[in-house]
Amino acid sequence: MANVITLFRREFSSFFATPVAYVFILIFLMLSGVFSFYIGNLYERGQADLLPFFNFHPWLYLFLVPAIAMRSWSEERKSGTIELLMTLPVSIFEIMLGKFLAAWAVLGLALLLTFPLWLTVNYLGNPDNGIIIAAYLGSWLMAGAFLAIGICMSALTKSQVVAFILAVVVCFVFVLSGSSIVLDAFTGWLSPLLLDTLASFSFLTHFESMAKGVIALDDVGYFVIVIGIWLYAGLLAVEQKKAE
Amino acid sequence: MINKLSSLLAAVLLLLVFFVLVLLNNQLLSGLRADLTEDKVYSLSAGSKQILQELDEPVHLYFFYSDKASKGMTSLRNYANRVESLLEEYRSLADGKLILHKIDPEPFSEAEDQANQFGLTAASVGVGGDAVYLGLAARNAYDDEKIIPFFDPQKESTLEYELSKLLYQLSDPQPVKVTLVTDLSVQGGQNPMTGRFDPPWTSFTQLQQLYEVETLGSDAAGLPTDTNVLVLVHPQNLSESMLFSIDQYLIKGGKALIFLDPHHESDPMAAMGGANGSELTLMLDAWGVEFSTDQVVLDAAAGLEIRTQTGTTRHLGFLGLDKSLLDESDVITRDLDMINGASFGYFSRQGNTGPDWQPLLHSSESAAVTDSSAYAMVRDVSQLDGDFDQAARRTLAVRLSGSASSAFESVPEGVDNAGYQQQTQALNVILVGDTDLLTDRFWVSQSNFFGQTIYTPFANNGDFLTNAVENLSGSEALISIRSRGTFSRPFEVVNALTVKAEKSFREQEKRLQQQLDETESQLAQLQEQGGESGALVLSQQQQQMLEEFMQQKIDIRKALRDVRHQLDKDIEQLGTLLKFINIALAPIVLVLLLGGLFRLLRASKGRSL
Repeated sequence: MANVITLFRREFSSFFATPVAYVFILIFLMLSGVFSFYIGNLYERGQADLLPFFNFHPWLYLFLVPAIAMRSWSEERKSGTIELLMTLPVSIFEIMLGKFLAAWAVLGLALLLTFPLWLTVNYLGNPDNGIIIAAYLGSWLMAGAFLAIGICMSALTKSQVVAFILAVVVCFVFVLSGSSIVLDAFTGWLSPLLLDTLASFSFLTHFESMAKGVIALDDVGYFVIVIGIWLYAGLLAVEQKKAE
Repeated sequence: MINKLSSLLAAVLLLLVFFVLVLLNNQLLSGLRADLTEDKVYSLSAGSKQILQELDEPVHLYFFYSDKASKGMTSLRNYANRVESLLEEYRSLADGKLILHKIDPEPFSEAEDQANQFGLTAASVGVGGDAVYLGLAARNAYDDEKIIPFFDPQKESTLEYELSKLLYQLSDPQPVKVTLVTDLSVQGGQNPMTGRFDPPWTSFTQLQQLYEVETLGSDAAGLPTDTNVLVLVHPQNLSESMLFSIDQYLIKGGKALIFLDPHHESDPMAAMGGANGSELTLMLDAWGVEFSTDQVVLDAAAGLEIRTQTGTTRHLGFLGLDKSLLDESDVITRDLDMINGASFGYFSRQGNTGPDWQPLLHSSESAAVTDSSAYAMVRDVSQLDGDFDQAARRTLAVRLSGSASSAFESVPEGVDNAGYQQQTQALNVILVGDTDLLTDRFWVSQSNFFGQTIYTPFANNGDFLTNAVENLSGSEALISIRSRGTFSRPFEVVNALTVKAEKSFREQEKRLQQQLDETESQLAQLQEQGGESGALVLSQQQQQMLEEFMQQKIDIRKALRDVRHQLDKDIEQLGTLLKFINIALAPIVLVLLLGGLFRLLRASKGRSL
């Protein structure tokens, strides 16, 4: 655990040693403001809630999270620092966890820094802050799921660009699996149980139910499973490359 | 090669593990949830859960929702989702006893016919007038059916109550037995003053149509054992055994609607003998309730206009209780608009102990009291006067629930003492401070239509009675379900700005309109002058004035348009400011601060090394 904490610190400060984290946070804050106000019409619809803000999170994460995840292993591999890492008295699992937690913390920080929006709706009316807390939690968990996929893709390739594109594609599949685009194609021939299971793979389904204000254990469980599975897949990929 | 194969195998295995884990997660963890919403909107109340637990036979729910036809109707779709998720919640808690069928009744489909057969109502939308269904039909094992024809988004706060009531009615198809105890002539009869036969009270007839009603006089020895709801109207001279029977009925979980009155003035003989107040002090004392049998409430604000021989006058003792004087949170009164009554008495609490106290009807702030005997003798209603210096809001009807003691410390002599009980934790009584409100003259008008008497209600007194009986005849659980919170959360700051802007707009508009009217009349005058002088051509001076007025008119019109345009300026400005702060200012400032903070941390770390 001590190793994970040390690795987490190293990774986390490395984000802020370069402009990466700052640029990421700035873009995230600005885009979420633009989407909420101009596409979601947060002000014009006159309701004191943050639905228009949270509605765009899956789509923001779809591009921004792979961007922050793409360097995690690709960079190490490209610059050769991975060899150094492997010589350290830490396991790959610990390195993986440290990297994930550090990037997840950056995402959490970016989310926290959207508090002016929360202040705005509280100034304008009386929002249900319980719903907002649940939605923030759901958003952070979903960001973790995007991140785990991104990190796994980064472990697969030396090229950051390839890692980014692969991550976007896989994440897109996960986002869309609950939408009518996908479900309609299966509606005719899949049984309702299988269709429901397919819909339950979607990040949207789980995030939306949390954004309504209900923290259901199966929604949290789903994101934890996605994070666990993809980090483990990433781990296998690193091991595989190491063997090569 | 082997390496690649093993990687592929690992990937496939991992995918399989993922599927299994997600499936297990869906199946095993789906019941556990924390509802963080302010009003616990997505959680069922304890009352609803109890109703679900008491379901013996499976109930089929047919949820009709025109998913395709309602595309683009965001608010209706949101509401449909809300209804659906609540239905899902019911289903998940019903332990398999609820079978939910979700049906999209597309136009000209069999499902649409089915919806029509159930009697659901379709809303017609769009240019083509597509039928949009959003209703529920439910059927139990005995083929009894209940429906909610259309889920009205306006009634979101009573949604859970409506659904639970529907399930309760299907789970307990036994007819409700109402025992009415009164000496008043609710069933009609010969009028001692006129000698004619009066018809039964419409409120009573309505009750008979809905429930099995047994009427008893105050001399009856006790309540029938199968009583579901007791309606006690104007109790006087109840026998001790009857009082004991009522007391024990209530202490053992019975439900009662009790109408008391300091003066029942609808009695034809009332004008002769002064006030004729109800008597139930023994029980009221046991419940810690005080009722003013010697005082009548006069209300300067809620008094009704009545017609007298000399014209119309306001009767301070005849009260019209509008929506603002009815409790909005209780299912009995929340949808009612007006209750009329006469010579109301008021309730007050003796101390703070006793059952829970929830007022249902109350007077306005301008209510005074007067002596009931004096009130009974007043002939000229304009002479009615009370002590209005002490004016205050009075409770005219109240719901009592929770713990209470019996009015009898021991079993009275000569009464069967089987199962005497001293205490209850579930008292369920509604007390109303007037009996006149049940008589026809306060809420229903009669007219003759081809030999048939038609009753047209002009107040909700009858609804109040049936709502109360219906509510009380429901299970304990049903009564406990209160209306849930409101779901619209408007921008109050923006609303305040709108009100302010509209006010200033109206003021400016009025001023400009006045100017415009003046200018136009001057213009008309000038044109008339031109006509009167007989000259076909206006003088140069007149022409100039005419042009000036025309210009002025155009300017004022433009100013008016500008004022209208400016109406939302403050609101727009606030929006622009908030957008600027959230999109540009806050992100830049926060990221700069973050950068500064990390530099500071680094510097201090460097120093410490």
